[in-house]
Amino acid sequence: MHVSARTFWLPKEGNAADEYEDAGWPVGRIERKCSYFRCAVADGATETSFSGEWARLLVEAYGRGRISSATLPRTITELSQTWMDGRPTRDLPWYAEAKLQSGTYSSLLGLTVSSRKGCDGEGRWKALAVGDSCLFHMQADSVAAAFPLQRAEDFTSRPHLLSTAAGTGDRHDLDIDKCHGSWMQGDRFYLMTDALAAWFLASAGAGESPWDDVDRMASYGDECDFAQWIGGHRRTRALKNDDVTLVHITVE
Amino acid sequence: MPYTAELSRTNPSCILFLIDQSGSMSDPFGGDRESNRKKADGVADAINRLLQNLVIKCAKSEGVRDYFSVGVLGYGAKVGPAFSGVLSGRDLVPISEIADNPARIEDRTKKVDDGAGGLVEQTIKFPIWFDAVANGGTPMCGVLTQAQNIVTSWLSAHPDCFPPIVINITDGESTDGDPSAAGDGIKSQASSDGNALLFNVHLSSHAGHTFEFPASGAELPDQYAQLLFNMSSPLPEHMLAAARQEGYRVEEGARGFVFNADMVAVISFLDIGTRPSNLR
Repeated sequence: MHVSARTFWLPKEGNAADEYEDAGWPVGRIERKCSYFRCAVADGATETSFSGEWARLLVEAYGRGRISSATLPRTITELSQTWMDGRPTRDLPWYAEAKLQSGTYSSLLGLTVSSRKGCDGEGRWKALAVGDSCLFHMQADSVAAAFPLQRAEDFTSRPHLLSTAAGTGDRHDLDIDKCHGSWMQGDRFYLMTDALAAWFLASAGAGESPWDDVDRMASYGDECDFAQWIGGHRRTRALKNDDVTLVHITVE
Repeated sequence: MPYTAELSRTNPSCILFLIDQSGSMSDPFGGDRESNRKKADGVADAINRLLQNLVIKCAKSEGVRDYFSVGVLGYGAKVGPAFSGVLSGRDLVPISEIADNPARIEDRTKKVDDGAGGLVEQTIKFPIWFDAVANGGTPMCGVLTQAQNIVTSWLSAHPDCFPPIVINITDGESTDGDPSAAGDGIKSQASSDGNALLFNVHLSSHAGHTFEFPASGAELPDQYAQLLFNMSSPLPEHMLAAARQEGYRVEEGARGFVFNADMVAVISFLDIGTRPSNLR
């Protein structure tokens, strides 16, 4: 199996690059022959602090094979400790202390593509999601799978997310969505955080072909092209002003 | 569509709190004559909790982001800005300055879920900006008129902002006339995103029912509550949706009005970005 992967990202307009709170894995561009490939996106919640660090921990853990739907509860506990160890604890203003006590939150969408053939003779893929970051499996000009959300109107500003906080009860009640399927030569996978995914679904729902722009960006675009493309959609309010992350995968 | 403007540091909005400091606020709260809890204590608690929640909402890794400027006008023996200390005399203050300048910070404990089905006590810092005050009449028309002037001035500098929100915390018994027209004056002010919102928190000596965001005033216990209900703006669509997600049973037409209850939930209805549904 040959995998081409590219990750694009852009902070919310008006925010600095170091205020970007999404994360994508892999970082940058990869061309690789392999028997399986892992990638992920995560979206740290605006209303919590240090959520970008949490999102980065989650995608890296998924990318390095530390997270599956079976191991997620245990791994989240370990990663929460790593996140907490990286936080300042002394001489904090009252509001920073309150914010840390409530923990931080992020979505996570992870995709594993495998060259191992299923009974239909095709390669397999599986994905897990907590929250509203989305996967689109593209076969030619058709959306073969949209996961976990299928309609633009399903997005809200209040998704259920992965938390570092003890006391939310989340460890015992993780709301994990799972999906799997098979892929063929030349299929693409898009992993998108919510603003871009909502735009993609709205555009596809309106009979347009948003995959043309996405594939063109992955084939020919650079960071500046991506920023211009996203900026154009933000200006027309077709795309909500939010951090944006796209991981684009082609498998052959 | 109205009430969809982005709340950001480059396009902030303003929230103005009006706090009743009249002599009648020394009466018992919620008909509770056995405890010493007065309506003025309820007002102080309400404003401190509202400010605390607003600051925490805007706090990020690097500090507090100025998504809002906030004013507090007191009305009782006099009408005017109610902050003390370094904020004294200012009518609107960026939320980051309010965060850094409470009058004092108390340690309190609260019980939180330990994640394993039990509860543990957690010490939290509780900032206090305002103490209970009860002195003089209830010049509600006067304070609403002053609030309108502040809102008008804000809108001239921020014409495309999310509309200003005025939250009036009172026992409802205006002593300088019917406040309805002054309330209408605030609600007639508008940004390109919609009209300013006027919400009311009625703290009464009446025992019995509490009401949160009702759509009708028919069951409210007296004419003061009904007057404040009628003055209150309907919750915009996204706030209605947020209220439902927070577990409130609100109907279409629900208004920004509570009776003997708090309005801290309104802070969570404000949309500055992703808020986890499982955030406690």
